[in-house]
Amino acid sequence: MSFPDVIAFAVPAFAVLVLAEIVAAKISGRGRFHAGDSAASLLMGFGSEIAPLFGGAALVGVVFASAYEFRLTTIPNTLIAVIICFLIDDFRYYWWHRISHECRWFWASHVVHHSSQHYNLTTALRQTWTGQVLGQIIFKTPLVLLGFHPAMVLFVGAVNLLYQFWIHTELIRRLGPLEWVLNTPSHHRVHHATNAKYLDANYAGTLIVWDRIFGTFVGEDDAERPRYGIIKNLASYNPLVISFHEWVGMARDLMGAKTWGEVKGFLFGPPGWTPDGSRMTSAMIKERAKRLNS
Amino acid sequence: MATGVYYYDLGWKWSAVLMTGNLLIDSVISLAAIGLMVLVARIFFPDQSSGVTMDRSIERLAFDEPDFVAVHWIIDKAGRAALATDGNGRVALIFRSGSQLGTRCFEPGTVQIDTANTNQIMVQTNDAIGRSIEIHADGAADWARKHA
Repeated sequence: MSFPDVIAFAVPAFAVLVLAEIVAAKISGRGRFHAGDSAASLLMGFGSEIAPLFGGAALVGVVFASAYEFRLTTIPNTLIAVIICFLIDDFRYYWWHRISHECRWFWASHVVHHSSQHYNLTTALRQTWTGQVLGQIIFKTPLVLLGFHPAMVLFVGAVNLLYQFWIHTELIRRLGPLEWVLNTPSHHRVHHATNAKYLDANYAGTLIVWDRIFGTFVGEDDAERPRYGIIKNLASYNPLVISFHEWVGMARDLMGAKTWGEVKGFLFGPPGWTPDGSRMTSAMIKERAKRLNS
Repeated sequence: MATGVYYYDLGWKWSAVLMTGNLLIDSVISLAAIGLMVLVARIFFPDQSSGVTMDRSIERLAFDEPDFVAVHWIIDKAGRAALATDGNGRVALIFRSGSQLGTRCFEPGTVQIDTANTNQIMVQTNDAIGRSIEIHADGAADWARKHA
């Protein structure tokens, strides 16, 4: 069994679908584009394809090859194995994604994807340049240690990412009973929203059931339109700023840290954590909203 | 198994459709496609500006900083930014962010404002990238000294 590079196959389709969405958004009035924002997102996507050449691909190769040498068992490359691998990987994705929102080290890479104040198919392509080297591999390696072939692990991960492309749109409202099982545009709009009630919700990749099981599911409320972006919106379309701003911020915080506890908090605490509470974490924002609404 | 087997699966492979397999040529094709998409976005959504007005600032501030009660305001003549204070030393900066607005809030005594020019102030944001934002308005420096 061979595992094609599905992302490579999909790239031309991405372009066609983005063009189609621009036209459809204009005609329907649902969805907005800003040329600068789209340019930034697309350049981030372009960069994320090149970035692995600067060590990330080699690192994954070495780690996966080493892990596969120490695998618990050998799982054959069959269709059933691919399906099981996909389901486990989707579970893995949920936790990687959740931790990426709850721990600043991982957030520093993932924030890139959330840094657009728009929500359209170009946002899906706004991807990190640093994530592969600085964290994702930790979460994928256990599948290789279990005995899934590294190529299969990469394949199912790519399929999962591919699935998530089309859900970055405001054109599609709701999908009936599929909303119970699958991650949909509606669920993912909530995930990208900065409204207090929507923060830290809907981490799913393909199956929304993980959020329902682990208590992080929040449905889209028609009375509260999602407002996209991050808590402190960047106001920059410079790919270097988008890619590295949180790392620079973290470095600055670390230089001012006075205790090891502060170092730990700045590195691994929730995004927005400070020793004196002068910036806000999402928990603090939710608490504030609750207080103001009561 | 040799490590090299995995390199094959991880490398640059945009050769599947419409691509040549040559990194340089494929990059040029990709950048041209990006240019096309951005151009189409620009054509279909020509209104790219987002002037900072009082109404928009109030609305955005209410979302980003719902417990900030603005008392004094100053707005840039060209609609690039606005500054508000709550009367107790807190300062909120509202600025253009593409077609949207962004905000930064400063606790009392933490905002840095350059008031060297009478009709122009420069607010240093607390961003990692150290950006500063100018506000041009009649008597801006006096306003900042009095309220911020």
